[in-house]
Amino acid sequence: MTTSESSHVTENPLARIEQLFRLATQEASAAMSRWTGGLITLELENVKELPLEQAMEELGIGDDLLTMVVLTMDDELGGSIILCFDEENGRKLAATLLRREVENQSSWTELEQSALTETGNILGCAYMNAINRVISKELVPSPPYFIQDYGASVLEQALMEQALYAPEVLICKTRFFHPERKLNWHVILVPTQQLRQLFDQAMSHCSEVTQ
Amino acid sequence: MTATTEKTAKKINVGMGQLHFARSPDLLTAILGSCVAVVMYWPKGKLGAMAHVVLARAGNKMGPAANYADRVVPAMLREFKIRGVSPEELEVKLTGGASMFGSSRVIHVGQDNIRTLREALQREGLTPVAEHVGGKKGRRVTLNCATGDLTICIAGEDPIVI
Repeated sequence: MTTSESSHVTENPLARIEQLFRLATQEASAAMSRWTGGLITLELENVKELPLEQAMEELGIGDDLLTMVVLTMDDELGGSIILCFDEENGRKLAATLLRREVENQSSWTELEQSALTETGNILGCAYMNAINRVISKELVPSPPYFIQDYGASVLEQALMEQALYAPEVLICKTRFFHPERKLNWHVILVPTQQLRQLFDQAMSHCSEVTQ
Repeated sequence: MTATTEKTAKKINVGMGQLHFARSPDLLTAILGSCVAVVMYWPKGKLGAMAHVVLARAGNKMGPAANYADRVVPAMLREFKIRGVSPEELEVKLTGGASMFGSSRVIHVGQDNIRTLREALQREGLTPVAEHVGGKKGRRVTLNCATGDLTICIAGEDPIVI
């Protein structure tokens, strides 16, 4: 990082948080690649702060039923990590991980759910490990929940922790890549106000050190 | 040949913190987690309103009245009054307020929203004619302004009409 870049980051709290999540996403991508035998990677798509009323529209989560794995970032400080899958590719991932054909049942089997939940666990832990190293604090993610529900209702619940304290919400969105398929999957990170302060303080300190 | 004058129903999405009005045959719809939808319907004029309430109390926070359970009811009644409708002519319904996941700070937000809305309605002399609240799953709710029916869809369950 050049001096001018680092001083720019120091002045912009949103850029500091983006820098942290970019770093954490690289670690999550490496973990995902290992977990899927090098097939799937991910990268940070964007970090945005916007009025609550615009958040859902911005994320493009309509009224569809989605398959999701949700973890809270820390029991005390809150925050959420939401892993959203489109049905077809989510089931393909589960089948690949289980080394079997895609199940043709309408509902997800326990094994398929378990494979996706473990994927959420691996990604969540990779994110939290990277973040913990930077902030020098041990945030402990919750066990992952497998949820099939309206995407907007789950995101609404995740945004609630920020909405309690501020009219604007911060959302980080991550995109997945597969060499042969378009994956409509996302990781959405929703930190609480308390976590944002913690992240910002840690990244300010990092920027000061690099200057 | 007779000319068709029937209007096609328009579907209006009511996002977080928003309040929308619509007339027959239009539909008002929202996706709810811990948020609560306050629905008011004027049967005589087939006029409906839906507010997507996010939090119980505004305190010193800014934002639209529909965001807050303690501000939304007077705001809705004011809008109906502008349209010449008095509170006693309205049917009120409540839905939403699930406790889905999260830390202890947010797990009770839905219940708090419902309680505050009931109190706010009571202050205005209104009692909901129907409610479908709580639970642990999200809801897709749709008000049919032609009939006043509120259809509630929960993933994996049959739709309910209240």
